[in-house]
Amino acid sequence: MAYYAAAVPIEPAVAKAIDEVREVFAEHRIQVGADGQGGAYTVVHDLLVGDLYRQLDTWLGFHITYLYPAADVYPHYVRADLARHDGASLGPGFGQGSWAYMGGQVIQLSRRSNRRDAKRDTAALKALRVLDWLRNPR
Amino acid sequence: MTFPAGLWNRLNGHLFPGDADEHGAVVLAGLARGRNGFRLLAKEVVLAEDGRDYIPGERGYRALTPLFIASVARRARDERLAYLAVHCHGGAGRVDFSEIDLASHERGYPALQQITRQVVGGVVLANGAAAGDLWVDADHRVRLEGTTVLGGNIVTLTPKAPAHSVGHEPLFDRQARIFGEQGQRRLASMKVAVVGLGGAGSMAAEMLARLGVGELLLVDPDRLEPSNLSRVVGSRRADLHPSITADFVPRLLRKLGERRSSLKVQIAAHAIRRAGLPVRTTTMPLDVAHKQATAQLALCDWIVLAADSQHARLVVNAVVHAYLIPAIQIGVKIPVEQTTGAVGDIFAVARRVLPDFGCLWCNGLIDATELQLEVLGDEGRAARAYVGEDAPAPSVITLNGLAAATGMTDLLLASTGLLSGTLSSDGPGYVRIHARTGKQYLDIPRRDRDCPYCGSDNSILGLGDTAALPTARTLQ
Repeated sequence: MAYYAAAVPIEPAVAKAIDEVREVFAEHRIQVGADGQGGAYTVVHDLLVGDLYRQLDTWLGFHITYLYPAADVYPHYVRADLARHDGASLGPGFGQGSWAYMGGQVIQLSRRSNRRDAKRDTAALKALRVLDWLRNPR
Repeated sequence: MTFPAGLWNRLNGHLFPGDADEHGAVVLAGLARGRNGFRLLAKEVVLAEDGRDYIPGERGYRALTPLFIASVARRARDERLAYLAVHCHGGAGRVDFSEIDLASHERGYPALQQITRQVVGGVVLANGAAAGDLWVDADHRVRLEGTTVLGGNIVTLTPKAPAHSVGHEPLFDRQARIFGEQGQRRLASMKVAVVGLGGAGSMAAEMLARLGVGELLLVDPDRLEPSNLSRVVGSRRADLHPSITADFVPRLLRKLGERRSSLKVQIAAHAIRRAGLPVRTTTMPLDVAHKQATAQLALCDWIVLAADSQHARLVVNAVVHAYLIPAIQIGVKIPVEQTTGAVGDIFAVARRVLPDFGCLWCNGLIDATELQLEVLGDEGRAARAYVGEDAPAPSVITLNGLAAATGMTDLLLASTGLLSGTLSSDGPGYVRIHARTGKQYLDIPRRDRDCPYCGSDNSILGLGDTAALPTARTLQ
């Protein structure tokens, strides 16, 4: 795929989404990287994962593309070695994948937004929902 | 100048309340480059209240007050919109400005144009006719060629009805007996974009060419694959590179061969040329989201959306609303359960999309998650594969034909003024034909007031060339 020679600055809507993520996850380190097309890779670090897992915490990553908010934020990614205490598989919605932004193998969390409202269902709100589901998968 | 039907009805209702008197208003309009000059895109109507904003004139019968003009002109300047003062005359079928009208234009519009730095002018309407006198800049004054209203029927008003001509092109004799020589001329004057030249799109392009549409813009980046042969009209085995149809070919060679197969746009254009039809074709082997393709879409009279992608839907929906161009989205849904193979409810659709009726965004027809996956490119394809969502959708020629025929019939009837009843004014809605039960439904689309595409405030509706369109950011 060819790219335009000059990188496109982050779109105002994407910048606003990142600000909202920073606000919602104010106590966490937020890592942001422009993708050169107007979108941004975003990673929220040091999130507690709850009692189900062997690990204490994880990072949560996602890609807000230049078409946001028309485009959903999907999928989400967490540490590749996330594992349950009981040894059971992680279950539906979890998959082994890779994400170049975090340099390699990850676990992909596939949570589609049904009946999404582009004005209300922000990247921050979606991250909260995914995190909640990660801690309490159904 | 183009009007969404709702806005036109509001203007018309104010100018012709049934009292046979003169009334006034101002239309604020966006601007777009057109095929022959520029197009005005009616975005807002500011009604002049009789006795307060529209009062007895010093020289003419009535006139807009200086206060009203200043207030609206300021908005035209600040929002970069054309300013068009509209009033009405009596009579039907023909209209023109009076000498007093023209004199007042010459007194006021050059200065108004300099103040607003936008196109300014006057428009006069009568029953079934419209005329316009426009100042593009201090040195250029032009007449409005036509005023088009995008309702169920697409109607164009001119200062006088076109002359009735005798006889018609033998090639289109049988169909011209339905909608007359005027209808056939209308088709010949149209430029129609077909986005997606797969099963449904290739059939739509063939139909449009044989209807006598003047010009076709064919947009699709894809090349023919073996599984397309059963559905793409005009495709031949020879369009597939031999390396991908042979019994055994190493994967790498097969991949190289796929790149040598014919482009779908070329197949469609070739089929039309082979038939010797009097239609000009332009092929764009690009994704419609590419800026170059989108720019060409904005110069068309109609858009037929037959592409599967969500980004194509998003872009076409945006162009419809920014440039006030009617569209029809056609497609087929064949749900087949992956594990059991059970076939669900099969249906074909033809959805009319007008600037104030049928917005794909308002009606949940642009899947935000699928859009994201498309935009992610390789990252998205990998994400789909990890959850096993990469199987191709089922497709069959007869159902594609159902969608294409339904959609192109709507386009034909709308363009030649043959839709009747509520369909003629309100629009046909979304036609849905269920193949397994034979039932047909007409779904009435909804509209959200604060939609970013068709909403009345803060949307791209009628912005024309100043609209920010959701085009792709990577060269493809």
